[in-house]
Amino acid sequence: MPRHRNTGRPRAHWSIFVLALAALVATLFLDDYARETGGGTVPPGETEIVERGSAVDGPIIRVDNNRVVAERLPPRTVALTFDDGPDPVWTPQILDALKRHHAKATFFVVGAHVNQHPELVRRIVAEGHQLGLHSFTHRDLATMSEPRRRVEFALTRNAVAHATGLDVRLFRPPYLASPAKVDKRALDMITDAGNSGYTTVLADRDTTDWRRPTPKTIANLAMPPNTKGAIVLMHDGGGDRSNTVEALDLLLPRLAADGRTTVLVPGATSEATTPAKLQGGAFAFVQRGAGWTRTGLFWLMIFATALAGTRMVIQAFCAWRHARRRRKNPLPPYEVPVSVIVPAFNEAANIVATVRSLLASEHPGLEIIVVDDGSTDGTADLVEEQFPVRVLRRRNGGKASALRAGVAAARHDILVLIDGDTIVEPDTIGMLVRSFADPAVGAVAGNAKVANRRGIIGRWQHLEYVVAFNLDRRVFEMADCMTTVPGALGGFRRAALEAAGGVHSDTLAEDTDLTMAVVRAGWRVVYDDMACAWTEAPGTWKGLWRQRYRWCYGTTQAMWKHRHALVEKGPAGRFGRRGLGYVAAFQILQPLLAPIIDVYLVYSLLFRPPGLEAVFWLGIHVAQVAVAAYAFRLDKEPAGPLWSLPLLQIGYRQLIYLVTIQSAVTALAGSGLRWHVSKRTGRAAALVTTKDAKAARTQRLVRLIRLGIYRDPRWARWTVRVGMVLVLISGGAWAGGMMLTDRYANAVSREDLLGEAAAYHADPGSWSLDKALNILLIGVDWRKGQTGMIRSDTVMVLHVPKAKDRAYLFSLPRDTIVDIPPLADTGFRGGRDRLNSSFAYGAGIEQDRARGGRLLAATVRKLTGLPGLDAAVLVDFYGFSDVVKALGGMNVCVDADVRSIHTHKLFRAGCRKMSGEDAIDYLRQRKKVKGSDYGRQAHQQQFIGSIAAEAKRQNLAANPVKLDSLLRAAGHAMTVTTGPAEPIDLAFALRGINPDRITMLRTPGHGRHDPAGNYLGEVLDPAAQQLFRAVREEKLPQFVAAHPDLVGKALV
Amino acid sequence: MSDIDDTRRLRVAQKPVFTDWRGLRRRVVVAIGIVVGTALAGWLVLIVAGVLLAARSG
Repeated sequence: MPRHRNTGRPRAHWSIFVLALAALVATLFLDDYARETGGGTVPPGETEIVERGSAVDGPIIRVDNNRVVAERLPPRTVALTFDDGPDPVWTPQILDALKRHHAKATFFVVGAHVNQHPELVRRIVAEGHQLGLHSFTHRDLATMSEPRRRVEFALTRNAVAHATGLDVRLFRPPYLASPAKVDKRALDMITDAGNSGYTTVLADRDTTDWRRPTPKTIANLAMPPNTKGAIVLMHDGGGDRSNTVEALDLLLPRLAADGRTTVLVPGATSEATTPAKLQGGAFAFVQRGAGWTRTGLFWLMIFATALAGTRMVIQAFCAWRHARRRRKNPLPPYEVPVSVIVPAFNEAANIVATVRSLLASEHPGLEIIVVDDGSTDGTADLVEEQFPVRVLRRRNGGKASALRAGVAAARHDILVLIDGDTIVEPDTIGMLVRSFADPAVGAVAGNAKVANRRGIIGRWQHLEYVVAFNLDRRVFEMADCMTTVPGALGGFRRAALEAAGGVHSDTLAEDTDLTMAVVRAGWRVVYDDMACAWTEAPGTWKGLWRQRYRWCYGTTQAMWKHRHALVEKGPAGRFGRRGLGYVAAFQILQPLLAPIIDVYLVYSLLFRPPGLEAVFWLGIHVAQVAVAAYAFRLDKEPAGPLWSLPLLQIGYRQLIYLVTIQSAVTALAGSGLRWHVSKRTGRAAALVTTKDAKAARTQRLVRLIRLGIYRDPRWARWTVRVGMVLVLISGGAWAGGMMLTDRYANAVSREDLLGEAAAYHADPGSWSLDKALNILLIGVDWRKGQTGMIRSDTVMVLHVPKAKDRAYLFSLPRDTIVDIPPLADTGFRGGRDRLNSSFAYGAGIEQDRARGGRLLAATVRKLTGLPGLDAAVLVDFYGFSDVVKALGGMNVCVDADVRSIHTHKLFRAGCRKMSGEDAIDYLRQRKKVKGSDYGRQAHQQQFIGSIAAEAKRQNLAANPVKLDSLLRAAGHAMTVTTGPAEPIDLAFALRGINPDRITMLRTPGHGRHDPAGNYLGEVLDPAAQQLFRAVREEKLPQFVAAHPDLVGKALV
Repeated sequence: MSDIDDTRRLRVAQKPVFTDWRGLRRRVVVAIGIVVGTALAGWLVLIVAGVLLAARSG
């Protein structure tokens, strides 16, 4: 006889569980930190405000005796540097190109990439190149706190130390390419780095290859313009660097032909210390592990989602087929004598109602046996006193043994086993036994319903019973692999019980064990959803935990006990492979995976931008609601409780999977588990004693629905259906519209470029777009990193008459001598200077473009006499090249050969398609262009018209992908002021203007020179004042008719 | 736990499934748990220590 074992529940695994969750979260954070590596430099359209001019006058900066020392390379030497690698695709190609031309270079590597590709870093060193540090995650170090910066430095240095054994002290900060960009904050960072022994290496020539100009352009930009030594900045990572690779084959021969030598940046490298190597190795290990963990979690999420989705598909399909089968083959009544066995232990709260409901049963020839299993609350006495039923009194031996006693004492062949707190309906027994008309049927599972549905725990269990348990039973019946006839309500044929060996006591789920044995013995087990009974579910978290712990552990015991069915043939094998497989996959494996998935999903939803995880999470929940709604319909339950289904995810679901973990560990550890009896509250009994009127109403409603007597009124049904469709359509349209407008509205930067010159400044309430508009267009030819004053290279006014069917565009020569008003913000007291200087005076050395716009707007208003300007657009030339790129290039007609003074590219006369960079390069040319500034103005006006014409030609409204790309590129290149209106409203107001209805006007003027012939600026002709008056008085058509010589032509 | 809740006394001939009377399986599970717990703790320490040491050295 086995000795009794101390069945303490295992608890220590919870410490491991908490540790695992903490490790998982830390791993995800680490992976995110290492993954968020930027690349290139600041995206187009963004500016960097430089507080002062350059604080250093050379690209190689170190600190010597607390003094910042900046040096240059010797004359006729060029140091090629590559940032953002190592990259598995581009770094090898760049190394190959360097090898072809016998050149050496310096690679400023990103620490996170070093850990991912240490072999590439070793190759860089082996082939004689030089390494430098470029931070660990390519974030802007100047904006970081000092401790965070130290982490970046140390992790990168250690990563390189681990990969190569070298201690590297060269450093290039991300987003800081040129000495001209060094402001106070950057200087502080460089000084800190220098004090720590690092030499900061910036660049003389920034090829901006991250923008992917042509290889020729990259090579041109890399080529030093004079004999001074130059450090050239290129990239071997952070994007497609194919053009950079090609550019090397152009550049290196040119450098050699020019007599320049490629050199490495001066700086010694020493052997790394052992602690640095070890730390680097350890961090590389955890970074790699974090990467694998993230990848594994992602695929686990895919698998879990697929598992959940598969289960829902199986449930929905089998449930549909089960319901269809029942509908097509309704079962007739089967009036056979039935013995009902009610095992009871301390069921005084419910037993009277249970027996009373049995006695009210419509089924004839019912034998009722109550088996009292040693109750101490007078259960047996209550029954004997009130009801003429058999009561077997016995000493406590457990439910299984009570059932065995009841079966032995029963007279009839068909046995119905119910719990002591189950309330049956008058037709329950009849519905349950009708399936036994089929001699192959050995057992029937009834439909146990939760009586105590009030309160969140009861409601959730009700949801679970209907959605999970009952749907699963339909699946099992269709697959001939029923796993559980519920102890609350089940019917058995005596022969099937005997074939199964009776009710056993070696598991805590004797109902599951018995069902599995019956199925393995070759009997059919079916589910009758019309055989309903009401049972009391645990009403507290503790009670629920205990019940589910026992169920889960007991089910696992039963599965293990019947594991041989997996390899058996016939019905047993079918049960084993289908039934056990289904339970193992969806009731054991899925809950065990759930905590990991939960942590990953919650982390992704909270700390990462919405992505695939959010889509999966939302998709699964939507599908769950749909399946649940179907289950409720099949079970003929009112749909009210469905609203709490999403809340099931918080608390209830976690309890279920924690219970599964506890059961699994208990099973593995062999601890054993005792039976716990729930405390009965009599909620089931209250159904028939009218103590709980609301629950009783629910019971009656469910019965009416089940019997097909009750139906919602037709108007209510159709109202709900139509309402749901309308909500879906309008919600979708609203959400889609909000997303789109938000996307494009936020793509555009908005600042106040007009200030007091705005037409709406005095009275915003009376201003609207439904009038003639004057829009100020400002073009700045300024590259980020440029120091000094920003001047506006282009100033145009777009006049749109009230009808909004056409527009007039005129330029103001940048060198026009004008009166510039004072601007208190900067202390500028006003004066007389060129027009483009007004923007510079406004922007100041802080390069505040909004302020520059405001002073320029005030100057334009004074010059033109306009009462006010309605909107303003400031365009960054370099960002605008992306607009052209989004259009796929621009057709441009060059009127005469001109060579760019910036890139030395020759633009031949004639029409051709130009890329964005080439188009902007051409439009910047002034000195070599016919008509000088006036010629350039004409080109720029034509360019604007051509952009609009090209957009119209491509019919972007019908191509949302391209339109999206264009709008986002345009948004990044612009800063707009639209006053009280939204930019999208302004764009909408101008939608009726066709490109061929834009009239380009030249503002006439002439140059002024001093007696020595020096150019002093432009002076406007009297016709220009007539133009301005025509704009003010809205008489431009008449002006155009009178001055046809001032009208320009299209560029294409 | 009071008797009114704890009513199940094992007196039947069948040995409950999974119960490990000799405790051998429990010892194996405990050993595996210690190994897993140590590995997890070590991993956590590696991550935290890596960042803290980097912050100190710079």
